[in-house]
Amino acid sequence: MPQTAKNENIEKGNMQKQPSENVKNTEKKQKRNYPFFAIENPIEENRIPVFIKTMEAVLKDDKYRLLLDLYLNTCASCNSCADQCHLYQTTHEEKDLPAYRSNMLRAVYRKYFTTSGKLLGGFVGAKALKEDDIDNMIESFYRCTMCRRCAVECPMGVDNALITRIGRCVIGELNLAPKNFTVSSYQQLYGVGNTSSIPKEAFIDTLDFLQDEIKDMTGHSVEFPRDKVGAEYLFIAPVSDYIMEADTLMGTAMTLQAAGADWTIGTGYYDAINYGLFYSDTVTADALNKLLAEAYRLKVKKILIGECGHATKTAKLFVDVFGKHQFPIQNVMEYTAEAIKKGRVKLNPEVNQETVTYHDPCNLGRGLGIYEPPRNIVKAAVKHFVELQPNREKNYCCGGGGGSVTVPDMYNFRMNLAGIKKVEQIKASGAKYLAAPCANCKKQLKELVEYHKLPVTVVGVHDLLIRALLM
Amino acid sequence: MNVASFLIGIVLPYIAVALFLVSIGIRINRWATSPHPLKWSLYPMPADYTGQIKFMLKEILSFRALLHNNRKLWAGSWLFHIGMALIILWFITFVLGLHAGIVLRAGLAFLIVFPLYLFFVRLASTKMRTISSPLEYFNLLIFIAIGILGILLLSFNKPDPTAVRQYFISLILLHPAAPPESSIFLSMLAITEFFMIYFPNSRMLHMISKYFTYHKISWESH
Ligand code: SF4
Ligand code: SF4
Repeated sequence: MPQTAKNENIEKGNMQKQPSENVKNTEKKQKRNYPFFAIENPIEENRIPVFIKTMEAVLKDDKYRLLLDLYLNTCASCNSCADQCHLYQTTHEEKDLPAYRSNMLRAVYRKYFTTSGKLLGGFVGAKALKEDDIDNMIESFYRCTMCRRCAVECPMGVDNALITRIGRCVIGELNLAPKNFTVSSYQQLYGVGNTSSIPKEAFIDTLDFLQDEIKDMTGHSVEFPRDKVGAEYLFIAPVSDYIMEADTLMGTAMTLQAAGADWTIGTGYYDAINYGLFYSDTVTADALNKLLAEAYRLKVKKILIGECGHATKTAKLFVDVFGKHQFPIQNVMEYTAEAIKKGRVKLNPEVNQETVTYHDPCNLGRGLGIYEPPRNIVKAAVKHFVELQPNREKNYCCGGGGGSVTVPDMYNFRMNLAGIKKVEQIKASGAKYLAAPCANCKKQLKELVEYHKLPVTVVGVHDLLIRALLM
Repeated sequence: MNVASFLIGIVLPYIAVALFLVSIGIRINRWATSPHPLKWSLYPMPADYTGQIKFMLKEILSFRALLHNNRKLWAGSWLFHIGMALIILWFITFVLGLHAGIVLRAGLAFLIVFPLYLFFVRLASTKMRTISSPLEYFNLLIFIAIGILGILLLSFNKPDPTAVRQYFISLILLHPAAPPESSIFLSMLAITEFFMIYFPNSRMLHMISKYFTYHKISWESH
């Protein structure tokens, strides 16, 4: 078994208590209204001292001391980030200026944690924290989709998305994260075992169903291997794919079989989603450790993550921080591109005649540098490929990043503000299909396409392989 | 020599330089030794050491990111930094015995014109005002003040260059002689000393912190 990361945050625990436990505390008091999204059991009292104490803990914490100290002292207030931000370019609202948002946290940092701020106050940008500030931070930190497009062109190398994450972690410790994060994560970590609450039996039925479906569609017998001890790869997808992205999963299983992969799915833990990336180190750590535990249980050699940006990034970048790193982690884009290159998988692009374009998920692209493998797959699988403009590190966020796609209260925001740049990009491409290897992106893009009535079909990258594979 | 001359001309130069170096050293040491377990790489990143050097040179010499994205700010800040470079260049050549007055004049002029320009760019747009604290304006004003004092000195109260050079050399050789008698020269010296003490504790240290934002965070691959 893996050791659970000995992390102070875990003991502190910012998981939501089950609804019933906290009812007594909140019943009598006047409830605060959180208009931007629903929050389960938000902290109602002493928010300011708790906020400052939490920030103090974060600053003392080795993980963030350098980052905060460095970023908050380096920004030259030039606003180049604003010119890169898809959201600010759409809304032109003060609260969407990346540097303005970071300044909210900087003001608290300066006021309570620096001598100059204590002595000189507003002159150096320090500001005493007020109740309203906390509410404004909640909204502003969640409007930022953490896409990091701004970081690419910051002349100082500052990454406002990381400041957003730190801000969200602080407010997350105050139980001020969206209900959809906290409730799903609770189910994943302490309840059914995954964020969509799919019981094991239903999950196994789904695997059988997918096998039958492939047989019906293509005539091939393709297996979704389960709990195969000692396999080379433990394959894990965002669990929502089993509800919403059957084609992606079928294409992936077919590809893995065609490539001769020795792989398995674990029925003990089958959800790659890690909402911790968006609001909490505790959740990040716990979810990663569940993944590692499953890998140990099945004695696999590597972990292969399905079409999901944030899950791949969290596992690849944070496993050393929060867990005990024993397993190389790969994204399925890297696997399939390699298999095609080596000739282990053969494709017939003639079956996909329509024009296809590709959306770089922020966490796969800017976050992990996986720019070329998916392109190589798509180009091998279709006849006509066009790029979105701009693309790669300059690609625009789908508008549902930072976990916002899971928050129903943010639907209008995503459709009418955060996703607008993406809509323009898609329209300009003229493509019939839009491939995006990320569960978050796919959901948001599908909703955008429906809402804005775009003449495009959103698919996963492996969806394109179902018909193109020569098996 | 009066008290002001003694303090500003003889004592403070050493204190200022010492604080300047020590504070920068402390900062660098803190940033270089702070643990940073959280990986937060940003792609694309230079593939190797040579690539990193190339990127850095391009960024330092041309202000690449600003040049590509923000011409208006780029022009102002690039020329402003050129002004600083000219002053430093002048100082070194001056101590070495060259009298490149034109370099000094150009440098001082740049230090007035471009910070002033940036000051108004910052003030003129709501978007810039929103993210600026008084400190941002103050930092620009320091440079403008240095520039103006310098021009005044050259125009109305120009001390004998040989005497000024002797004075600087005496400081460097740790046998401080009295500074040239000129209240403007003394004011200029004072403001420069203030600047040296203030600089390492301000965001102007970005010339150094920037190294860490790239090397320790963005360019740390997984
Ligand atoms: S681009 Fe960078 S330096 Fe400029 S305001 Fe944004 S974060 Fe600050
Ligand atoms: S991370 Fe994305 S959404 Fe957030 S400020 Fe930067 S560009 Fe805007």
